[in-house]
Amino acid sequence: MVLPEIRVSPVIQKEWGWPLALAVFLGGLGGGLFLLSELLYLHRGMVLGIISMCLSVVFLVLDLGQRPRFWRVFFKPRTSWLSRGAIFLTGAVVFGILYVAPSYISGLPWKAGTALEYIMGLIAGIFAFLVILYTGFLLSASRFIPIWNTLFLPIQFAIYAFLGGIDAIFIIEALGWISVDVEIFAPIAAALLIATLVLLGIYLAIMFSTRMGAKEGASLLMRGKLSPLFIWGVFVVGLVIPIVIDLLIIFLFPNLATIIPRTLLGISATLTLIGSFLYRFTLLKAGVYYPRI
Amino acid sequence: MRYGMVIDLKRCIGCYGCQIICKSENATPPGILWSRLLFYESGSYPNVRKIHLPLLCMHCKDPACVDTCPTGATAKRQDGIVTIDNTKCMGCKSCVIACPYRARSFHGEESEYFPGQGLTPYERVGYRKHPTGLVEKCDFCLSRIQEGLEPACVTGCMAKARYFGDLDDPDSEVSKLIRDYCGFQIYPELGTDPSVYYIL
Repeated sequence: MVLPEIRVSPVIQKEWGWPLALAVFLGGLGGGLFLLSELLYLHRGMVLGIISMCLSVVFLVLDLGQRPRFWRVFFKPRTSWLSRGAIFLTGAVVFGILYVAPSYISGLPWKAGTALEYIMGLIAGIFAFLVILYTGFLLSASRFIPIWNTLFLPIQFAIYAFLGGIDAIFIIEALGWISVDVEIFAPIAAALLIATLVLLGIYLAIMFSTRMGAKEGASLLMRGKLSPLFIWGVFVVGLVIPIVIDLLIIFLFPNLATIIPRTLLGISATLTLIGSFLYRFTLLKAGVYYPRI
Repeated sequence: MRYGMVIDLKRCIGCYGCQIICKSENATPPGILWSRLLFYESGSYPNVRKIHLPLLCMHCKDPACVDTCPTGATAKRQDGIVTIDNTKCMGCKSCVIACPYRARSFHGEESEYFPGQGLTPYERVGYRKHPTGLVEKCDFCLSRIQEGLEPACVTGCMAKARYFGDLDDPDSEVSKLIRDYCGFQIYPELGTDPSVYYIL
């Protein structure tokens, strides 16, 4: 015996909003920036990465109904992605601070260039990488929101995180805070942007052709009330314009050390970061439940 | 021991009595329904039926909310009842997202039933059980069960459409009903094994 098919309007999740979108965005950005800066040994980049991850923790806490109880989040890493994420963020921030501290504070028991510093850097890097992964898995673990419940999300979030790291390096380089050879990164950023665009297209095509819930979520993004933000914010501002700018820079400016390409790279990076946040935000807002009940 | 409920949809008349008596028993704040009634139409013209489906927390055997809760506030008791510990919940809402039956509500801020007139004495007493910033849901009227009573929605159903008992006991009324009338769970394919069954 079964119940006649339940036909009610789609139910959209309202519990998670912009604070969580910001937390996920800043976590991914911070993780990506920290990891890339560590590989390039850019201290200011690492510090900014740590600050970004700290802000991610702040927004995660702000989203709680009972903020003074935030410490309880560490209790269930075996099954809860929120718990795992909190541990990864804390690990990345704590070991990241310990790793960069000798460059700013003298008299610490561990010094720059020692084995202990190397180990702390390694642990911080592993945690930063796990932060990048957790942001996607936090959403994709939601079994009953089909538009989130896909491996595409962790992959896309990880690409966006590395892209965010490169973009942040472009911006702080354009501001003159660090000195780095951006010529290596411009083609990588362009390639990652194109990969994101293609993946996003495939993702939406799959969502449109699959189960209830996913299709409605994708419709909200492409045709519903979220479409202006998604199409103009994520696709046009966050992907298409930066791709055009990056390709123009690569093909028109053989020497990227001049002011014009560096400024253009900074603008392209800023647009990508805006799109990256809007992607998280719109995706959260498009969370349609299955079953409809 | 696994407490469960059987709802006879042939007997249910969609009177909202379960919803009201649940509110009366548990003093749930405005906008929060631990027990609710879903109305929808089934079939296509000219063979259309109006279905009313009473819903509450399914107290699943494999609840998705327990796994996703990062604090351990949501737990399944030995008797199968899924509870939320108010002192442990931090209001992260991940259990609300995880529940496929939409049985959980986040109580964001205190509101009154008569806006601008303040809380009634009943609300003042009742809301002690509903601190803000937490997630809440049906607990099968745990306090009543501990007193040897049945959940309020079972005793209060005037059509006598609800039955409560031990699903693990083959001689219990609920087990017999499920066996004799081909009781079914809603969306069993979701894999959470609900403890609320329906008969048609």
